[in-house]
Amino acid sequence: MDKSPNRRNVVDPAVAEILSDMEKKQRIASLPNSKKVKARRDASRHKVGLDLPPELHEALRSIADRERISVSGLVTFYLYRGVVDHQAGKVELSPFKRLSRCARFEYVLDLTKLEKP
Amino acid sequence: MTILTIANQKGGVGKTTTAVTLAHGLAMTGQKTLLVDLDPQGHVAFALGVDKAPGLYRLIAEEEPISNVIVNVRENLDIVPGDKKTEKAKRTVVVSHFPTEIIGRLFKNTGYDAIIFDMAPSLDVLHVSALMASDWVLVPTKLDAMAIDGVNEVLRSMGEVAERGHHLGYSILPTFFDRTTRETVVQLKALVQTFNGHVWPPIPQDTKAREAPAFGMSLWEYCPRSPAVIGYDGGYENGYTSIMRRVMEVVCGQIA
Repeated sequence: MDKSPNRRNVVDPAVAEILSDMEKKQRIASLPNSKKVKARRDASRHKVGLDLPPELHEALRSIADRERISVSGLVTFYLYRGVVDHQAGKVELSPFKRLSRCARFEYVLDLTKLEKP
Repeated sequence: MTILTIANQKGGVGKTTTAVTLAHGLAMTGQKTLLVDLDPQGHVAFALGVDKAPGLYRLIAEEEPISNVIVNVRENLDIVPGDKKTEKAKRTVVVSHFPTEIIGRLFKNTGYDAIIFDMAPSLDVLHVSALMASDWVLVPTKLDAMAIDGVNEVLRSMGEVAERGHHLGYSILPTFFDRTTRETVVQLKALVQTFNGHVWPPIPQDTKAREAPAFGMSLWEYCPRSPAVIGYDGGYENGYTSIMRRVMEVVCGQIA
């Protein structure tokens, strides 16, 4: 059994987020002008982590290499397209949905039915 | 029934604005709510567009039934108004047999889902009596050293109340939040380090919140899209809308 106890984060998550945002802005404000622009640009980047199947990641990397663009740019492009199509009713998720066994989501998507690259 | 007290010994920290906003917010969600003005300034009535009146004085000193002194100000929202005579009511409380129990006795079994006490910026017998009757205390504070000292004073009073066997839940609400000043960050950080999860998301400084009482309107009526209500657009929760969610948890018993 792991004997090192984990410190619980008891601060209201919204308050923690506000504090971290304000501290980030103060850190940037204290930088010399030459570094402020880059720091602001970096801070405004919205990074997310997603679970991707390895073969999909590989296919994205290969397309990005061929087109000489970044994987991030390519994924963002595809996602915009996908979201617009979904909002236009062109994407049907129901055939891929199956009931989830975890409490957080009602369904999971069964991607085995998707056509693979 | 849940009784919430809005208290800070320091004046001008947003107690009445918070009390009026939360009381009207609860009323709008269908909770039958009573807002009691324990401050001789009588600003609860003023902020909701009705006249100040010696409601609390009549209730305590003249022993009138509560139904005689409540004023219905909005759907589901009644108030017990106050005015300078509230000061005299305090004297009645002081000479009564059980001064610390008087508020609890007056407001129990009134049939409300929630009662909110808007306290005066002082520590007197009415204050202790209201704390004794309460389930939860919300302490609004500006993010400056003097206002935060007021928080400590309220918590000391709560400690005295706890010694009498009544344990209260509490939260601290940073108000007049100005995200551009260094002092705000320093004080918010200090507050969070000391009180951890008791600190709720802040209410942004907002001119509209100062204007609303002049029109006798709550913030939900006067400026529902203002920063004080919906918060800064920073992608994080703040403003009275986020506070309402937390208050609902208190009132519905999920926290208490």
